[in-house]
Amino acid sequence: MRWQAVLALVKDNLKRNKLFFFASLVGVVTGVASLIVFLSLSNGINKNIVDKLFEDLPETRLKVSTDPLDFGLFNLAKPGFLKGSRLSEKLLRDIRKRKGVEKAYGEMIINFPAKITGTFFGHRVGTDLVGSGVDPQAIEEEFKGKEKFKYSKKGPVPVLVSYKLLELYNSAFAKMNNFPRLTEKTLKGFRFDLVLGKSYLGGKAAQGKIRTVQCELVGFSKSAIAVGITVPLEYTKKWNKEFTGKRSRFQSIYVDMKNPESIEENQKWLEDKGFNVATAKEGSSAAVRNSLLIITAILVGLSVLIMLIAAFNLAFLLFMMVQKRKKEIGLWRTVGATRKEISLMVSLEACITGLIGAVLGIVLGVLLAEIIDLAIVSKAGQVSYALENLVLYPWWIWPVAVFYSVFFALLGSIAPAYFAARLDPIEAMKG
Amino acid sequence: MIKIEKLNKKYHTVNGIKHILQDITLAVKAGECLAIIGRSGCGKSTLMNLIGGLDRDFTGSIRVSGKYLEKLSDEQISKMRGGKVGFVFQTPSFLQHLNCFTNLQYAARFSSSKVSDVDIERLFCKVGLAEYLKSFPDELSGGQLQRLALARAMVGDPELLLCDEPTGNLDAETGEEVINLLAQLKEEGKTILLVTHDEQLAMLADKVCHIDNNKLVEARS
Repeated sequence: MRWQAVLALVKDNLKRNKLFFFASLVGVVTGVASLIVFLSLSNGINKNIVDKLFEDLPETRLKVSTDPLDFGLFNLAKPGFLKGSRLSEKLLRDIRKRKGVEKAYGEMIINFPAKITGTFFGHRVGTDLVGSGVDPQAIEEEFKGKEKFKYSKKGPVPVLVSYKLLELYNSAFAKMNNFPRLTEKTLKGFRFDLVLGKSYLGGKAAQGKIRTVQCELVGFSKSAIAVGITVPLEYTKKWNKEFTGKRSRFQSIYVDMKNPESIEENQKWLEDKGFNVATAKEGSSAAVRNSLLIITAILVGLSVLIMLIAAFNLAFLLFMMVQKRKKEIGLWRTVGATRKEISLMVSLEACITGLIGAVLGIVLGVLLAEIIDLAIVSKAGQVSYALENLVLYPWWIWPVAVFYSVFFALLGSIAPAYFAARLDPIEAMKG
Repeated sequence: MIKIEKLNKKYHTVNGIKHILQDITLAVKAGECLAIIGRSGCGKSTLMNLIGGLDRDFTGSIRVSGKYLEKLSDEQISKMRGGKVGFVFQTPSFLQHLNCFTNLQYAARFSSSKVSDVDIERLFCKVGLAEYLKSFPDELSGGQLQRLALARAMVGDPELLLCDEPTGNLDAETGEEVINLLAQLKEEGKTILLVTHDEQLAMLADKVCHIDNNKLVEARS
């Protein structure tokens, strides 16, 4: 392979056809920039938010689940053949009887579309529901006001939220929306509507009549879901049955140990029964992380789609370039260029486009990510979950971006390079 | 230098198969000059392209410099073109945005032999274009361009020159300049294969062959 000859042709061609290559760069730069934004945001959220969201959970709390992979918001139905041990009421009772266990309670996720709507300081607000149900008895020691947190056929649905949510509201949401700061006391008794069977993102539930119930915030609990609402277990059971048609089970069982020494033995006992056991801190953050992973994967998929379009565009432009240079290619063939060298010439042109695209894409991506960071952080203020940086660039993001860009550029060059190499020199010389 | 045996070449056309060359047998010794004449479309250029390895769709045997073309890979044939064979076409083609010297420099990079800038400058002197090193192809006349094409064909000092109507687009006076150059190269011992209509150019050849009815007939030796 005569690299010097091929490189000279590539250099000359890039110089001569700047406009062509600039046009082919647009897609590549967009694709790389989107990848940088998505990955840096995901990484930043993981490191700066998720890690800190669950830092207050006690080390002595275990999370017991059946799925080794908990996808949080995207809980996937486990295929029948994989279904093994179940998180049943009996298991819960058995756990409570174990030595070293202080308390145990099951968490049942509300697993059908639902949304919260209401008027908040004169503003109409709405969000999709993330909710769970817990047994009121399980939290009665910690939660003062237990008489209010129970199932009732009449009156508003009692709701608990986590202290973390209040903190998040005060440090970020209130500041972003110019709402007043709130205390536990002022929030108690706050009422809002919960639309069951329909959500903004999830659409309509599989069955059941869409209806609205009123909820009332009755208090705060360490056992409440970190970001979302927690209702008495009975509601979750009833609603899940009504809107999914199936009897729902616990997604997780939380076990509080009396002391760290009790963890090992109980963890082993549960693992021997086929359950997945982790500290609540690890388990909960893993669920959020997995949700984030899926969102990131979808966004990266979008970036891949952009890159595929860019590769297609590049292929089209390279084809045009080859057509335009047919006579030249014929000429190089007559003076001794091999098919491989002609093919290499086109591939190198694509490769250089990919490299330039990677550099420009990285610059644009960082710029966009920083703008997003600035916009969100400045609005959110000093959130306790250290929003110093919403975006974080791990070291591997740069080589990945370069590889990503060059890979798709080369993908786009396959057909034109093949076409150029297979050109009949005699026909090509005719132009 | 060139030995062809039972060469057959056909084309697939909409009207079926068209035989263009049939049972061609030819031998050209090193240092010999052969002219192939014949009416348009008789297969003269096809024969030249086959000998130069630009066209590889044939049956029979073509041996150039002791190598059977039908047995060589694309890479081997390309390298042979870059070292042992030089082409001159009726209409020379150059990269218009590059000056004459750079045009030859690019070709030299694909040569199998090592060609220095001094070697290229010598070639410019040889074809009488020493003053046009930095000129661009569109600043040269037709005759000068054909001489430049001859210089490019000579890059790497090939043993064999394949010339397809090298004076076809030139007037008598400029055509003569090219003929003189080819005569000079013949004197230097180059093997030259000329495809031509030009009687004067054909006079240069040691041997003249005629293609008639797809067959090669020796007309004069």
